[in-house]
Amino acid sequence: MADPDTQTPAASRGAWKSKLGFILAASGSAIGLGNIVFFASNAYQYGGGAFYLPYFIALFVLGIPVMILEFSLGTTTGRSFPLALGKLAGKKGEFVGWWSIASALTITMYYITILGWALSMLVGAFGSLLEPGASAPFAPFETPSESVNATAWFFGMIATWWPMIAVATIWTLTILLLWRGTETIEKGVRVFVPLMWLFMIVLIVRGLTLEGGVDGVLYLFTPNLDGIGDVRVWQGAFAQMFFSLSLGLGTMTAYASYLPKTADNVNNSLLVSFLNCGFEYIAGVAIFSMLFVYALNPAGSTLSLSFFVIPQGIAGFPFWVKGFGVFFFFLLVIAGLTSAVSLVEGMASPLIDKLGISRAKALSFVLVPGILGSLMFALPMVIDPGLSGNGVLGLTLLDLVDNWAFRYSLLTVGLLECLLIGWVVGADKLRVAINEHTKFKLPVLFNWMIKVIIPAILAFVLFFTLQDDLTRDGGIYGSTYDMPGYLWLPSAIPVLWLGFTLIVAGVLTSRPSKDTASPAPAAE
Amino acid sequence: MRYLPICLALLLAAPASAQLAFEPLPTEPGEEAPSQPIQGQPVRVTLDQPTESVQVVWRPNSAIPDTVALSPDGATFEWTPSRAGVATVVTPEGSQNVSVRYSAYPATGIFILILAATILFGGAGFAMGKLLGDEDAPALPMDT
Repeated sequence: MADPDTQTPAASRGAWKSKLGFILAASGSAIGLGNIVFFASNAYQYGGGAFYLPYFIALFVLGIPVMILEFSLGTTTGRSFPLALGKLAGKKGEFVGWWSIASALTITMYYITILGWALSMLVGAFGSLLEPGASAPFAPFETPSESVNATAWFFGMIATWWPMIAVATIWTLTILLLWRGTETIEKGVRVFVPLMWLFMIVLIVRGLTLEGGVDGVLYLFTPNLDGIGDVRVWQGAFAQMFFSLSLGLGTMTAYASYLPKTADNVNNSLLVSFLNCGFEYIAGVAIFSMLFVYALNPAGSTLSLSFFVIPQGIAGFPFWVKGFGVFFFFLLVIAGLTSAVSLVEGMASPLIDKLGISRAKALSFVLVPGILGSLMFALPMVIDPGLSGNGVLGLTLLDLVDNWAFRYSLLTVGLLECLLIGWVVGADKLRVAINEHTKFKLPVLFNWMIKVIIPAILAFVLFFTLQDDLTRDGGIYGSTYDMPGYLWLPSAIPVLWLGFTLIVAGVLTSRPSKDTASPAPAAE
Repeated sequence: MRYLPICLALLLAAPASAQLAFEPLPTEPGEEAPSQPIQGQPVRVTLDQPTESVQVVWRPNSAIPDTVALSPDGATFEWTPSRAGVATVVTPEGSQNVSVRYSAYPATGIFILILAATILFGGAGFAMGKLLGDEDAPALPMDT
């Protein structure tokens, strides 16, 4: 009879068929919309090549160790994030896990709306997106543009009902990819993840062959050390690393829970982290080469760069403009889709574990609120000028929810999981369990990183982020937004988000568990 | 995402009207002028209206912008960019971005480009090699 420790997890939960399938799925989860533009924007803002110093420190001190931790939670317990934390650290651990899942649900709602917009832009790239004549039903876009204006096209598009169809399409694709769990996820990522790399390489070749493209790449890497002592640079690098690797969301633990217990968590973490950061590297090359040539400013958010600035750069290409537009938005859609799949799986998997329900039922528990939330963010009337007076309430709402749900939950969950594993469970127990199955033995320093160094870094980032959000606008984040009649929103959103996520976490933690998995070795 | 402020900033950064024109000049008589501004080589800047106040903001919208004041004597003046990179030329009437190319490729940029690629792709290749060579964990095949 086979040793149960070397067997793949129970067939009813699902299991990866191959290591390659897992690596593609985990790297596809980590590589999302943010990787394509976020790194390039941060590098530009914080000193080009100089940003690589805090970036690599963040990768080795924060990113890889936390990824090892999250993978190990999955493989040692064979359970998804809340139940893995619960098995190791008790009810308080499970509560943190469910809180993370509730936040992930909030994030998934608007993330899929953004993907719906990307899909609409993809369809638009075949048609009028990269042509003159774009307009929107509110100022300053009422007059059709004389040249290509991706910003006007975007606002015109989100003021219609089309994004509702696009959002429904993205949810349908997500459901199809998740229908048979690891089996369909693996089939999907085997196509989508290589395509992402291929399309990005095509964009690099295009960018580098533009006159001045190489200068743009060197501008990305040439260091400007003026800001290296600025606390914001380090805060930006550590936060970027955490968000970029999709840590603190429960997705990595859910995916790792489908691996056998003998999986090498250290090597898997190194590989997924390097692939994720490598993709950011080549994305930076592609984007900087293009934006530099057309003197477009690379500073901006994921949305503004993806939907306004980069299409504007593509419109300047000397030939095959629509083709490259299609390539770029297809890249965005598949990068986002592989991440959305992991987000939903990260939520469905613990529901299956905890409630003992079927995959279809668990998916429906996620899909119903998820679809409703995504459609709400995509409603054309939320950007109707008649509602808000300035035509941007929908985006304001999305921005406010994103600011609190995304930025705070990931970092807070990271901080709490390190403290729980480090001080309640004992980092050394986990380290010993990891070292049983890895070629790269973790030193004792790993314990101190989990117990002290990483929590200190995350507390520092959270403190400065919160301080910034409470003071920068002369009040709470967003309080200076021009939203007549909705001035309560900036204060209400964090309260609503916290209330919703804490209630969901409390309810799910208190439910009796139908999980029958044996205790994990690290907890014994 | 701090969407709104950036959205508004980018609206300004979108291709602007031809308020300013940048015409690189040849460094030697008889030489062909470059098509784009180059670090250390003169550029003729033409404004819509004469002004006495022009500023060049290097690395605009970043955490470390650097502003340099120019003193034009009319609607057309000569400017020799001292460095390469993205800059915004700001006049009382508005602003426009310009990219200034390197006169010679910077060694530090090339070094960091290669170093970062070596760490990231070397690391990925190394880890992939270990994964492929992992014969101790037969529970899961490398590929199906």
